[in-house]
Amino acid sequence: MKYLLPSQFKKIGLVLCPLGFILWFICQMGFVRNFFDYFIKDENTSLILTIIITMLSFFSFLFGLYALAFSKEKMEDEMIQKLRLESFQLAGLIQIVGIIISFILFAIIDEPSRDSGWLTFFIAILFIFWVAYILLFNFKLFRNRI
Amino acid sequence: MKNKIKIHRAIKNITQEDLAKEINVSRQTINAMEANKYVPSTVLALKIANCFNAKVEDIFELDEND
Repeated sequence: MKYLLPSQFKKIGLVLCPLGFILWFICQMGFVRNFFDYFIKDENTSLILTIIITMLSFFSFLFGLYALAFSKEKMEDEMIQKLRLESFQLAGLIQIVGIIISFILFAIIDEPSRDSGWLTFFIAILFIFWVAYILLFNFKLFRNRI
Repeated sequence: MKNKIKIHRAIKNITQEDLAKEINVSRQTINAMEANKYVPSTVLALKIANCFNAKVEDIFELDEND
């Protein structure tokens, strides 16, 4: 495939993806804001710093995910490409099943009360595809190595 | 599809790693082909046949499921 990154990017992705996600989660829980509020007395500066860190962590998570999904294996041969295709198809299927189940759950149990609920749902559905693809592909690679 | 890669490899006295290097694929791909878990493309089948100085049909043959 023409669009794959060099294999070294996998290591970068392995570091950036979990690190970015953990930092973004900590930001969402409000710990970073509290931290800055405690040390910086100016509320505006504290808010801006929190937003910058939240954005940086989110984008490093995204880039990490991209690097993990699109970095070449050391020997990128036709069997690896077949495994990529199979993982891609299965991840797509998982995403569609996820969308259907979520809509049914929303309809039966509870509809998200605000727009942010839908936004979270759509973002989560997008990530489910990429996370499923990365997990499936690496599982297939691992199974092949045995 | 069945194949006789393992037999030809034994005749030529080369390891999976040697064959993989010669046809520029990973050792896992050779292993998967020998275990009949992966059917190679025409290009790869021709490369394997070339490597063993044999015809493709000497190494690969259709089985009843194909």
